[in-house]
Amino acid sequence: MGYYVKKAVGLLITLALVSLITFGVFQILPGNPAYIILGVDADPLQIEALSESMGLNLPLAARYFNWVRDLFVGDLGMSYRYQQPVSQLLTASLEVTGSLAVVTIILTAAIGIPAGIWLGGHSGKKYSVPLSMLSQVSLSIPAFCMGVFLIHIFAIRLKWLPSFGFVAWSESPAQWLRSLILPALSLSLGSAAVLIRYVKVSIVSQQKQDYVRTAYSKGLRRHRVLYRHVVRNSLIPVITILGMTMADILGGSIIVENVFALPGIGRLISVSITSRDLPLLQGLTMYLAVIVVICNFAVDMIYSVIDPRIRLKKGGAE
Amino acid sequence: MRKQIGIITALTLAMTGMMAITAEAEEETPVVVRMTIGAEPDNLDPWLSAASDTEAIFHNVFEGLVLFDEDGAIIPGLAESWDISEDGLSYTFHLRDDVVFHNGQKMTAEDVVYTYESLAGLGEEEPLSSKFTTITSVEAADDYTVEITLEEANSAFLQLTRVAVLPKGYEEQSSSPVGTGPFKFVRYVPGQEIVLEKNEEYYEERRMPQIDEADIYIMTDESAVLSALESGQLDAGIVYADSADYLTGDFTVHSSPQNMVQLFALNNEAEPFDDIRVRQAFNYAVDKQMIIDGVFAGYATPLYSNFSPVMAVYYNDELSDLYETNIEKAKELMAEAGYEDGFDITITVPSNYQKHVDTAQVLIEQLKQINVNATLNLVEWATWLEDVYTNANYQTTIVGLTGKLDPNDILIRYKSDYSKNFVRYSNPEYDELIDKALTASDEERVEIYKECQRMLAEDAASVFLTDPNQIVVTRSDLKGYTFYPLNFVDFSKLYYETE
Repeated sequence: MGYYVKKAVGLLITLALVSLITFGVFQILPGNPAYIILGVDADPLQIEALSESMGLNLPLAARYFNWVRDLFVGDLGMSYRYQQPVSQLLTASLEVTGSLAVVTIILTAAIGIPAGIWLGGHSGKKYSVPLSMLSQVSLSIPAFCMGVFLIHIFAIRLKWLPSFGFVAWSESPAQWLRSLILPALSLSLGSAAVLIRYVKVSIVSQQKQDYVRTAYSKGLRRHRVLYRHVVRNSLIPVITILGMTMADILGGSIIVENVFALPGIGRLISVSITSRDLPLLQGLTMYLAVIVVICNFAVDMIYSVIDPRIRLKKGGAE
Repeated sequence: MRKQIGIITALTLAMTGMMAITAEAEEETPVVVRMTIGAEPDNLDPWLSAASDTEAIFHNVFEGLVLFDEDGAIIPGLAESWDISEDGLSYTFHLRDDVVFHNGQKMTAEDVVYTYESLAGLGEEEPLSSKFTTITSVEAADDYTVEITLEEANSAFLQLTRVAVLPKGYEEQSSSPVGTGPFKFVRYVPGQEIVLEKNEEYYEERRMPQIDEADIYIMTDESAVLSALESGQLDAGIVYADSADYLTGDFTVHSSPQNMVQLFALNNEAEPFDDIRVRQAFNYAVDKQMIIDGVFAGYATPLYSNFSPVMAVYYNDELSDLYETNIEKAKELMAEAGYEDGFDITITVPSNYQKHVDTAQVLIEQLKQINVNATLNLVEWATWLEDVYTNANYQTTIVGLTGKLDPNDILIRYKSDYSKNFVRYSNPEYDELIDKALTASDEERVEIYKECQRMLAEDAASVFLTDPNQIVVTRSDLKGYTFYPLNFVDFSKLYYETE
C-alpha cells in the first residue's frame, strides 16, 4: 500500500515541477502566439482580438493560477493554435500514437524474441554470424532512414501500403493496420535489434547456470531445457526493453510521425513548440510525465508476475 | 528452431497476404482530388483568419461581393454590378438574388449589412479589421441592394470587398464554416485533413465544380509529399523546384511566378545601412541570376523593386538595368562611404524556409567580394516574427513577402508610419505618394505606383531578389490547374481527362 502512495506522491511532485518549468521556459522564448498563428499579414485588430481570446492580456501569475485551477477540474484549457480543447486534441492524437505503439510492440516482440532465442541457442555456430550482423545493421539505421527506405520499397515501388496518413480502427480495422505497418516496422526494426541482443546474451548466460546442468542431468533433452527453463528465466530483459520502447513511442516519435504524416503526439509536440501554444504544450508535458511514470510502474508489476522472487524482495524491503 | 523460422515465415506471409487483399478491396468512389497544404489553417472563420495558406483553400468555400480572375482583375461575385459615386465615398452594390448559403439560408442584403457592420465595428462589437474602419454606414436599400459609405475616398476599397460575406445569425463559423462558394466545408481534422465537397446548389454555371470532393491533407514534410505523389496517394502537390525534377512517373509540372517578393532586407535604421551608398553597393554586389539558378533551379523571376511583374498593370519595367552586377562599382561606393575594408554583418534567416537559408549562403559568398564578412544567424519563425518583423531588431534578413491584389497593400510596407515597416525605410515623398494614390483616378494610380517602385529602387531600400515560382505537380490526367496572383488553389477548375 505504502508503495502505491509513494508512487502517487512522486507523480504529483513531478507534474508540479514539470508544469512550472515549462511555463517558465515559455516566458523566456521570444514570439507572440497570436502573431505566429495569423502570420505576417495579420491585421492589428485581429491580433488584439486573438490575444484577448487566448487570455494573453492577463498577468503571468494569474495565467498560471488559472491553469492549475482548471486542471483540478480536469480542464486542460484551449489550444491557441487549434482553438479546440487540449484534452480533445490529446485524445485524438493518442489514438494514433497508441495504435502505433501497440503495432510496434507486437512487431518488436515477434521479430526480437524468436530471433534472440534462436541466436542464443546457437551461439558460436557459423551460421549465426550473418544474423548477428544483420541485427547490428538494423540497430545502426535510424528509424526515419528506415522509414524512407520502406516507403520507397513498399509504397512507391510495390504500391502495397500507403506512405502516409492514418485510418481509425473504428473506420476500418484492415485499413488501420495497413496505415500503421510501415511506420511501426521502421520503429520496431531498431528496437527488435536491441531486443535480440539482450535476449541472446541472457540466454547464453542462463545456460551456464547450475539449474541448467541439473536439468540436463535429469536426462532432459536440449530442446526442452532451452524452452522450458532457460527462456522463461531470460524474459526479464524482454519486459524491460518492451517497456522502454512503449514509453518511447507513446511519448511521440516526432520524426517518424513527420515522415509518415501521422497526426500523433509527436506532431502535436512539434506544432505546440513552433507555434508557442502554451496550453497545448503544458497538456502534453503532463501527459508525457504520466506516461513515463505509468510505464515504469507497469514494468515493475510485470516483473513481479514473471518472477515471484522480485515481489518477495520488494515486500521484504517495505 | 525450425518452429521459430516457421513462425516468422508465417507472419510475413500473413502480412503480405493481408496487404494484397485490402489493396484490392477499394470501392467505387466519387471523383476526388487529393492535394496537400503545408500548414494548419489558422482559423476556419474567414474574418478571424489571416494566413495566406488558409485562404488558398478556403476561398473555395467563401466568396465576397467581388471576386478576382487569373490576372487579378476584379470580377462580379455576390454582387452582379456596382456603382461608385462621383466623390468616391459611396458604393452601391446590386446583389444576385439566386445565392443560397451552404446551410440553406438565402443570401440577401441583410447578410451583407451584417458582414460589413461586423468588420467595421458599427454595431456594439469591436471592429474585426482595421481595413474596414473607414466605413461610416452600411444600408440596405432593398432586399438586393446595399449602399456602403466611406469616411474618405479610397480607391483600394473595391478590392477589399472580396472579403467573405457570411450569413447573419450563424454562430458556428469557427467550427463548421458556412459560405456561398462552389465548395462546401465537410470536415477539418487537426493535423490531418480538410475535406470539401461540391456545392450542388452553386449559382454560377461557369464556376461549377467538375469534381465531387477535394481532400486536402496537412503535410509539413516535403519528402512525405513526394513519396505520397509517387505512391499514387496524392493527385496534386505543391513542391520545391528541385524536387519536381526527382519525381518519376506520369506527372505534369505547373509553374508560375506567385507575386511574392523575396527580399534581402537591410535595416535602414541600423549602421552601416543608414548610408545609402552601402545599400547601393550591396545592390551592385548581388548577382540575382546566380541565386535563381543555384537556389531555385531556374524557377524564379528577378525583381528590381518591391514588386512582381505578375502585377502587369502597375509594374514598372524600366528598373532592370539600375544595378547591373558590378563589383568595381560596389567597391567604389563602399570606399566612398568609408568602408573600404568592409565590415561584419549578420543575416538573420528563419530556419524553416530552406530556400531563404540557401539564398543566404549564396549571398555570403557574393558579399565577400566587397570585403563584407556576413554570418548566417538561423532563428525559429516565432523568434523572427518578434525580433525582426515586429521589433526591427536586426541588421539584415531574408524573407518572402506574399503578394496582394492591390498595389497599395504591397507598397504600403515602406511607408514610414506603417506599423510593419520592418525595413525602416523612411522617405516623406514616398509617404505622400502612397496617400495620394488612394484618392487618385485609375490612370494616375498606375503612374504613382510606378514612381513608388522607382523610389524604392533608387534609394536602394533593400536588395530585391526574386519572385520564386510556385511549383505544382499534378497527375498528368488532372487538368485545369490555374494560377492566380494570390495564393489560391481553384478546385472548381480541376477535372480529370478520361481516355
